[in-house]
Amino acid sequence: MNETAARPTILIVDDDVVLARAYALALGTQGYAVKTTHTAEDALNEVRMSPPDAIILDYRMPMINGAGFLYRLRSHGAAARIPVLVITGETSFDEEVLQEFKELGAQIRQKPIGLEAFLAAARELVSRVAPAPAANLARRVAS
Amino acid sequence: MDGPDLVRWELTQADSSGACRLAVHHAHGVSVEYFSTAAMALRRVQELESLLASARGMSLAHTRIAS
Repeated sequence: MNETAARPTILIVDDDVVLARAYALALGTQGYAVKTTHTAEDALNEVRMSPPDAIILDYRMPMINGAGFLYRLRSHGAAARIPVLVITGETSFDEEVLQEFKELGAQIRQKPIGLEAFLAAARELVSRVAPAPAANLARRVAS
Repeated sequence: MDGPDLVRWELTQADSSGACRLAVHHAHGVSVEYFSTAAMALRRVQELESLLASARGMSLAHTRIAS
């Protein structure tokens, strides 16, 4: 949490600029510090430079998609354990892909996702940050 | 853009290869982009500043039309 030390930081990775902005707006109102990137490559650089507490990830992106990002993230040393929520417009994943996400430690939610469900998923995501700080982060967001 | 008073740029060196991190701070958080050279990052800053200037112009025009 480099840029805003007191609040949990969520990195949004979505090539849809408008959607990323909507997510940022919603999370900002809940007290999270929000960073956005629009490519997986920028997100990986950002994780290296300034690791967030949690990541919200679009699945379908050009160049490197959500799965490609996750594989790279999970081989990224200290950042390998950052909780990730994948939000996707895909309506059907086969069992193999779902298993892949599970093994990569990512949760999946499908679009469209309502505001309340989105914020609840973000809260749950941040609560997974790490056993000790998780309760503190949840308290910080709730207060 | 969220308004001229709420946008701030921050350009920092990302590594020894010359790569740069451009952070655009706005009302709803920070947008981050990486560039392999400072020149590319500065071109992006110019592009964003042009967009911002256009947005300001549109905003002023709307204000005049409304008044």
